[in-house]
Amino acid sequence: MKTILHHQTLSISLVVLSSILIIISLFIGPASIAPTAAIAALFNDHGAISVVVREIRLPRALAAWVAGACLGAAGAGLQGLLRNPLADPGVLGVSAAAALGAVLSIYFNFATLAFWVTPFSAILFALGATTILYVLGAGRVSTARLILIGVGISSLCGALLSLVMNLSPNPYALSDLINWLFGTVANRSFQDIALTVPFTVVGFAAIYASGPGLSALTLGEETAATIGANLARTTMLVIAGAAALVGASVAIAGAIGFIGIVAPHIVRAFSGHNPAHVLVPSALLGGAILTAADLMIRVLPFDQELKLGVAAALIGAPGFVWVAMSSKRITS
Amino acid sequence: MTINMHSFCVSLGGTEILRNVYLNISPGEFIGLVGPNGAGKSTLLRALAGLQSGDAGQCTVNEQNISELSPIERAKKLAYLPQSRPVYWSMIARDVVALGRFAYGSPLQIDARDAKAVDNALMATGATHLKARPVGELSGGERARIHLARTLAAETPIIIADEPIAALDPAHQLSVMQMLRDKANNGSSVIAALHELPLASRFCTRIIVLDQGRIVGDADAKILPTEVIECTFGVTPMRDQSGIINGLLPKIT
Repeated sequence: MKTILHHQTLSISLVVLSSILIIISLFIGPASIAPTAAIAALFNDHGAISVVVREIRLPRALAAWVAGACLGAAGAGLQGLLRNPLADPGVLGVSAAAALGAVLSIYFNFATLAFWVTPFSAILFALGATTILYVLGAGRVSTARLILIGVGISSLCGALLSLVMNLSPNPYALSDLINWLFGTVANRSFQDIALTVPFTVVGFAAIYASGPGLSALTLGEETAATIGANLARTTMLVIAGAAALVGASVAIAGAIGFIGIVAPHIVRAFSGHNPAHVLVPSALLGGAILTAADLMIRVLPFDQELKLGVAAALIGAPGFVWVAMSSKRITS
Repeated sequence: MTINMHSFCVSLGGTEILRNVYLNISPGEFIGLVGPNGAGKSTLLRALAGLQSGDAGQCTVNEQNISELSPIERAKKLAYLPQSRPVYWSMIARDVVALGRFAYGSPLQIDARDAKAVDNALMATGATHLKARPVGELSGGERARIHLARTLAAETPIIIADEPIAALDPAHQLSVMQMLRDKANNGSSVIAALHELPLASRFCTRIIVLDQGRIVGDADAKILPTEVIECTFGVTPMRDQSGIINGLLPKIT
């Protein structure tokens, strides 16, 4: 397999693709608005159409893109750190842990204390799950065991989430449970996205900065250390960065799986396996995929809209199996 | 640059792996570290590379304790080729070699000096034609040469290689041994664990024989006593007039 596209060319192409998808998102929805009218309504006040385009469709598309970009970058970072192409925030239970954190903050009314409490709580729980995974997993256990540890964390957090919902005094808790577990970006406002901006900025920066260390880790921990890599720093950057990104993405959209696997896998097919070069395109592609998935569920003719996380899993789960079947470790 | 081991001992899981090792490697030396399986060769090299701490004794580079060097400082002084060489991602071979330049900057941006070092290393291991291929598609021997090139690309004064020629075909075994000898002739300190006694005796400036964690022989290849080889390996060396080993026979009893 040769490199088809230079990673920077791929990144630029993905920025263009993402922009196109976000613009298309403005045209599509229950109310039919012509493309020209939608664009006009975005920049000038055209009454109801402007409200739909500016306050419903644009924030929704951006929320899907940001959540997907967070998951793509977190997946690529975790895969580099754990040296395993099957690492994914959803599969490994990091998303479920983040959802548990967010729900705990909401249903026990901590969320009213300050605007940042929900994302922060999601990130804290994501951090806990990522740390457990690293301590138990990195490079020392087989892929199968790592995934099993993730399944364990995921199931436990899912169960605790249900328990919290059952105990909650809020009568709408159960319907909310579905949103947290399966993920959705319907009815998101700019404020929802703005809340997570500090965390996404820090998260993307940390994951990007881990790139050289992740490349070095390709040779294994010991050899990476002998060529001068600071493994403690790389590990901390990825764990903190992935936790911030997954926490932010869950705070925006709930737990959405498989984007973190599928995006880096496609990126590798185009521009090679160097972990440092996979990070940025994976974030951009993750955003594009989730924006496209959200477009898809709006086009599908169902009475009740499909959950975004369900759509992502419908695409992503077969991808996960494909990656699992095709990945092999190279040793000599 | 000089490496020194002083009364170095290592135990792993209750088993003594290295016992009271004294070792000195000076610039210009190409040391062949030989010994049967399980003699402690890899542990000794890992200790020299700063990856294995000792229970007693010291390991120093230019009189500075190796454990006190930062990863970057250490990487600029010594390059280490491990025996087991996983590559977790099928990176392009040239990118893997470029990781040898990690300590000099970022592997994301290779400057002209790095590029020259990488190209020279690829040429020295006869791997230039492999540079554009993903390592996952290479054969075991080709991959071994890429790893060796990665080690050389660091252009360090000290080279530590654990079985650098194990997977190579005869022609590449010869060319790699000659290349390591050239490095030593140009002032590097080279130590390599080897199983190929005839090649070691032909190319190394000095042979160190390790058996059950002890150094049992340490001499110029030509004068290394035949009895030491017979006792340690259970084989009898055949030698030419100059003393170079050119073959091995079952031990004559």
